[in-house]
Amino acid sequence: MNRISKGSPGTRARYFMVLSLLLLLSSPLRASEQEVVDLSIEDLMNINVTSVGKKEQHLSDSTAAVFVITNQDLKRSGVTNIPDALRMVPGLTVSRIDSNKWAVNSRGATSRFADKLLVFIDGRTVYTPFFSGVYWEVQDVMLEDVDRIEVIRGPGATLWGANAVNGVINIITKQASDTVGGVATVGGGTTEEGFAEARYGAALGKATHGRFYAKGFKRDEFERASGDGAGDDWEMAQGGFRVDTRRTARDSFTFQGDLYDGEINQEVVLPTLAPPYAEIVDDTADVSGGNLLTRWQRVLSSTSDLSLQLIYDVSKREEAFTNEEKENIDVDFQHHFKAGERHDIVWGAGYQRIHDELADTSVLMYSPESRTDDLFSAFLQDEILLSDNRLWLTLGSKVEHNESTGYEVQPSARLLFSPRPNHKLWAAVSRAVRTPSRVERDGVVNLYVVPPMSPENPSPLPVVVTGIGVDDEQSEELIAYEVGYRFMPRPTVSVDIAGYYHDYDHLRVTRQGPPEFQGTYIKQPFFLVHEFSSRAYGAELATAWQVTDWLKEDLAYTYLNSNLEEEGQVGREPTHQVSLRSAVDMGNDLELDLWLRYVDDSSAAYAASPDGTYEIDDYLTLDVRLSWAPAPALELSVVGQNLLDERHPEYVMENYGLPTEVPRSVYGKITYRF
Amino acid sequence: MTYAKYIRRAWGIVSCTALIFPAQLSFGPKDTLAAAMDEPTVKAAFVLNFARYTQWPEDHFETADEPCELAVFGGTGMEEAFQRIEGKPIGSRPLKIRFTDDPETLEGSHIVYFCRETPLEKRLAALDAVKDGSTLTIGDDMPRFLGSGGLINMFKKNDRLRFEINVERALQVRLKFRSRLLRHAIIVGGP
Repeated sequence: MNRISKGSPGTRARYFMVLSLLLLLSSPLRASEQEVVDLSIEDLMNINVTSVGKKEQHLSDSTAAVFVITNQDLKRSGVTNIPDALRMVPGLTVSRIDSNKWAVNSRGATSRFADKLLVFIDGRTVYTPFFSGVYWEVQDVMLEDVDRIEVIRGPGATLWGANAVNGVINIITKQASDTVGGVATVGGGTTEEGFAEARYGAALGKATHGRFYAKGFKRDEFERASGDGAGDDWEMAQGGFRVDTRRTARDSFTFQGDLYDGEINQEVVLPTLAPPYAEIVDDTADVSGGNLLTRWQRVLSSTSDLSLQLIYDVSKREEAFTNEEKENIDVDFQHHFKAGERHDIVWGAGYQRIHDELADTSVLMYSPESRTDDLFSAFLQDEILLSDNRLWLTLGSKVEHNESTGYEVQPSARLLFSPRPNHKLWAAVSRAVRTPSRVERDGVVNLYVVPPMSPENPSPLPVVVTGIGVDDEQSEELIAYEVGYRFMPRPTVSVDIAGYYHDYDHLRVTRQGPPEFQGTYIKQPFFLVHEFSSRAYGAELATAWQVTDWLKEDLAYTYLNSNLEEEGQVGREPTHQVSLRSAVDMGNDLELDLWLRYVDDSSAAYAASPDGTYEIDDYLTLDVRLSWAPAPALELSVVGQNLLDERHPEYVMENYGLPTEVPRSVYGKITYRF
Repeated sequence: MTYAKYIRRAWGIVSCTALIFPAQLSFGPKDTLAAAMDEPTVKAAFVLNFARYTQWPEDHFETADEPCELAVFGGTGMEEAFQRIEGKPIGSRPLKIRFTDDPETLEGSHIVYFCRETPLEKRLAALDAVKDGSTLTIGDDMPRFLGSGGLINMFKKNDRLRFEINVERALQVRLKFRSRLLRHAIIVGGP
């Protein structure tokens, strides 16, 4: 078998760093503004004119609850991974289950297997159809090269398609022309045992730029409540490239790809038929994957453009309770144009082919083991200007055809009103669906075993509690009602408030079936059906305040009231969450960042507990980052995370896992640019 | 399915891509402009290039060294940027900049730059005032600028500035653009 070669990530990262250094050319010069006016037309075509990194604040014209994490936000937060960065976004709940697992969702229903959030990296979906969610631990990029992360809370299905029920996250990396030159980072600490990453970018021609990167890390295990190690240390190596070229003034092409490989350790609890009816197994999840993307964009005029995108993506995951391979081919076409004075139209069509192979394990079985599904989609959205610079109405819908539930229609209507340039009010009604996952369609899951002669099972035989997907061809449905208000009371202050009411129908629940006598044990089936209705409402606040030249304060507050936990499928959400980031510039070369977070008490669905839930106390924690740039090319930083207590629990995986706590940690980092 | 199969398929896609993909894989000079630049200055630099690659009719200038006059019309915030290109040579002529808010004063300008915040009625009045002269009219991100008689419109796409040119209208006012400029333009209208 032709496997992707393995090697310790440290070794690999060192190899790439040496390679990068060999490619080192002359140091890039910063062009001054006076020099810019003397540039040739060819050079001007390559200049980035965003105001990223500047202290300007803009009001978004979006008719949805949008939050943007900039490259600067990522750097100053001190995070080492994408899910931890999402903690600064109001409306999102991010909980670290252990060293290598996260539970992330928007507006409720958070869990390891959270299933209502759609995530893209440069337009490539990283959603897994097995449980309709995201394996966050394998979604990595070179954080240095991230342009921004756009987070849309609430349905985004009209543009993005099924499963964008509670939110959409777009991780967007920089164009290759914005990453010219080299950067190398090494660091390490207590839970971040060691990491290294390097990127080198160069001009490959007059209008062509390219970069490649490699990164690797080893993260230490977390701790149990007792203080014992949780056996969940892990290591990953990843590399990739991106080339952007402009063939003519009209046409630009992007070609990019990534490859990753990792070993993720975990202690899993698997049900057994013999006493003690559950065993703790030291397991290693072998994960690997890769992707290639090509995108062609043609600008037809200032008011019209189109794009065509082709993606190939494979991933593989082998662990004690699941063994999955996925291959995805995705073709997307999009055309945007203005029609007349008042209509701004975008439409598109797409095709996805998802092929999977799921080998049975002792706890998770699928029938059939392999499926190849076709997904066709088309959408149309019209932004109509109703009154000059004041009132816009956006109407649109996506129509999809999938192999489980057939046609799905996901329309939305959105209204934006701008009484004054610094004030924007919006309201929206939209529908979104989540299509059934592979487990819900074809899965049989042995959840746990109830020992014989116990209070819950007086019979002499063990009872195997089993979840069974019955493929009821029913999608989960959401009708969302949203309102929002964005305003800038002063040029240095922006405030963004959103409120929503989510009305859910056909949510997944388990329905107990008749017990079946199997000779040596009794099988107690629970059928996965979609017949639960629920609702959630809440409010989200994001403010940014540039207090002085040297101090910026970012506050996010989340209020969430949801009934989604009523059927025991997910836990109780934290009602209140606060994130307060303070960025202090102490002179030109010193930066201090403080990040205070409060998360209200919550619970997680947890099969091993008698009442099926695991209570989690509220917690207050603090991250601190201090960085010093002794020279323009060099930066030294120290980051302390979760400093306020020795350790605290944030979540547990609903099944097969043991409660693990997030410890206090510290790491140091050296960044060198060339 | 093993990885060999995936790699073969991926390679197939790479090969297909290579056919449409025109990357010149030779290492060129290092780009010195990775940093984001001040947008007004970049726009002024574009305008300077537009002026250099435009040919006015012979009879449009009285003497060989008469300044080329650029009027920045209808807005604020661009002064500093345009002062950076003041006096720069356009062939044998120095570039002369003035700032105005009055459409009546535009006649005779060789180039008029329309600031984005210009109200529509004022913009149309200004375009009307210069429609008979050989005036290079440049719009700053105005969706309908070419349709209402403008010649060049700058706009932002993927964080880069792009520009569209109405070649048909340019011919009517006897302006010619050099091919080096047209190569980077999005041409709207014939020929």
